[in-house]
Amino acid sequence: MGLALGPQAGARLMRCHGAATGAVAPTTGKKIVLAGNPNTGKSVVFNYLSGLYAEVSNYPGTTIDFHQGRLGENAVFDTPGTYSVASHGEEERVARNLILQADVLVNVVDATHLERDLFLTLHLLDLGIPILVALNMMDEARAQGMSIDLELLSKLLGVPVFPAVAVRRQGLAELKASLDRAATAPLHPELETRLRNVNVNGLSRAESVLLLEGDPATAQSHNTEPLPFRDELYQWRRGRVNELVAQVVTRTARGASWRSRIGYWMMHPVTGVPLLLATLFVMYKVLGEMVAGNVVGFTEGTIGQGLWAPFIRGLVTRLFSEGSVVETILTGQYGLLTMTFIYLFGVILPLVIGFYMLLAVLEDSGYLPRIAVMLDNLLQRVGLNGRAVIPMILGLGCVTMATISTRVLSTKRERMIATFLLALAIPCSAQLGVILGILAAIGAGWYALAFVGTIFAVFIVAGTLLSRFIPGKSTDLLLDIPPVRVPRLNNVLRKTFSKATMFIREVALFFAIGALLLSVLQLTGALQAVQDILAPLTERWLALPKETATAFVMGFVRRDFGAAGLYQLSLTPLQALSSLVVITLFVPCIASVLVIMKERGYKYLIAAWVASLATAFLVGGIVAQIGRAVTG
Amino acid sequence: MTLDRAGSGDSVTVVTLPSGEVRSSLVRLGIEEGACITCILKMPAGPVVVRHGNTDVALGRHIASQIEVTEAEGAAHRGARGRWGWRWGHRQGRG
Repeated sequence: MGLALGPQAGARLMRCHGAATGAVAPTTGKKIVLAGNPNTGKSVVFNYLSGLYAEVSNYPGTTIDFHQGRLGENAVFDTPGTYSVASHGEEERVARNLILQADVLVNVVDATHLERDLFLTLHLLDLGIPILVALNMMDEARAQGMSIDLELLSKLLGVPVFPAVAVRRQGLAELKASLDRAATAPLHPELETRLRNVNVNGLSRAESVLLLEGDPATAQSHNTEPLPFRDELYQWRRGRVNELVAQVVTRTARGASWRSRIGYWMMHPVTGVPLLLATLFVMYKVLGEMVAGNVVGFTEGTIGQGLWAPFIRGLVTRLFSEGSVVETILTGQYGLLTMTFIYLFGVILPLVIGFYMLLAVLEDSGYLPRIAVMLDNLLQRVGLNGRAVIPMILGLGCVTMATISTRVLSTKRERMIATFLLALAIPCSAQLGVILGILAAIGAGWYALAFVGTIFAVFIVAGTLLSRFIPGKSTDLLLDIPPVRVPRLNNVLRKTFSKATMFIREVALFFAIGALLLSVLQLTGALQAVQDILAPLTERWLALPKETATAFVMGFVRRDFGAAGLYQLSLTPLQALSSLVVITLFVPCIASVLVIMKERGYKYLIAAWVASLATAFLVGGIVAQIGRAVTG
Repeated sequence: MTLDRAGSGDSVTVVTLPSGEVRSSLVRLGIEEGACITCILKMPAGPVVVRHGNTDVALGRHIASQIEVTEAEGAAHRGARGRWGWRWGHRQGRG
């Protein structure tokens, strides 16, 4: 069977957000599916084979949907990491569906974690799908004093094994050239005996094995009951893995490496908490002072307002008279070519790039799962567990993406709580940047602390209430902690570029819509009316100038757009604090609304939307009133 | 005793695991009856981090309290090292 594997073909990365069913686009060639435990480097191998960029991080669960690319006439799929073929969670279901449809499996194995990873390998072999094993991270294994008998491993498994160091592209060319050597391991006699328990017609070997292990999805699709042999089979497979490892691995004694020490310090309460606070402080310094202050001061002030705005205004007024409808829409106070353009590229872009760069460093270092361990206790109180740290931190990048990533949470209850907390209290990178910039400009540390404290309190109170009123209880943390790694500059830049581009692309349209809306409101005089109507709310309750209402109108489109609107107003520190609280807790952006609707349904969406709006004005007002009382 | 009672730095042998999904999740990761694991860190009222071979796994307190363990042979003295007493260079893994 010849797999025609030409040079990298023209490629297109398909992001399949609706991947719950694992439906695979038709292709003329074979389906090559990458499978492996979380964090073994599947995405790196995928990027090599397909010539695309699927995100690479150092924490389990980076890939929750699958990615699809092409290799010659064949389709290549990157799957979410999984420890066995099962349907425990959303990621496992996506991986399971793709694995069952594969013509060729490339099992990416972390050589330093053979005891863990070979469990999946044996599971895949038992399914009887042609397979190749890529033994990744051979350099780390060697550095740890492990020596692995590759020939023996290949012989014992009955399939080809390729050593690799994927991040340095070592061994990948051989793997790519040998895809047609994928082999099926002979059926283990023990398993053959057990398969006699399956009396359903028309099942493939893979499906029979999964049915034996009580896989509900397989049972359902064949209208039968799942069988109760999972514990037995898992135990049996575990025993085989232990034997295999004992045969192929020789270890020389070694001490704990510096990386394992750093990893330990990151989690240890005595060193971990100060380190976390220091990390947040550095982020504030970099984003709030350096990027939001200096960089944005240059891009927005010097270039945007100083050079770009007069230039484009001059150009437009040559064609349309000043104050005309077209001129107002294009270059007026809320002009598409002035305000929108400058916000987008002068304010938001530098902030988003800055944030994603910092986030990429944190992601790739392996810090996030360790934060998850530290915050597990806290998150248990709001009905979640440490795992929810990942959607929350991703939410600081983009709430919309983070809402999709709540799929990594194991129960519906957790997904409901996490989605609301994201929609309410987590500012996205653009918004965060503007907020930090405004806080840094006020220059008073107490206001910044009051802001953080208020948002944190809202997070805890809202989470506690939800946890009390949504039936059920939080599930326990069970998290595999990846090793600490030095982030690779190449990946940090590539990921930052990919995420920032995605973010700007998503934001641009909504900013344009928002600006258009504002211009129309201004032209019709409605903006003035809105400001007057909202005056009791803004002036009396929030103690803000009534022009702030404009920022709130902008906030309905996107919270970061609203925050950017606050940028223009001259506010006292107290006014800045209360208006920032309102805009942070404000309704989720339109893109998030669409995702929430899709993931959680419209009833949930309406409740979440109304609740955030009410909370925003309630809490903002309380802050303003307390502030007024305190400062006199 | 149960795993949540082990001190940090203690090497223990797993006697029984809870049943159900948690059980299969643990067995996949190599934590099965008879496996020797080292408790490397205990968060105050939080998760217990155990090391098995090369793999570190964080287990919520509730899961840890359902895992029955016995102190591994020759590891009795390790408990005396105090609360944060995981020693660097201490050899992990199979006892």
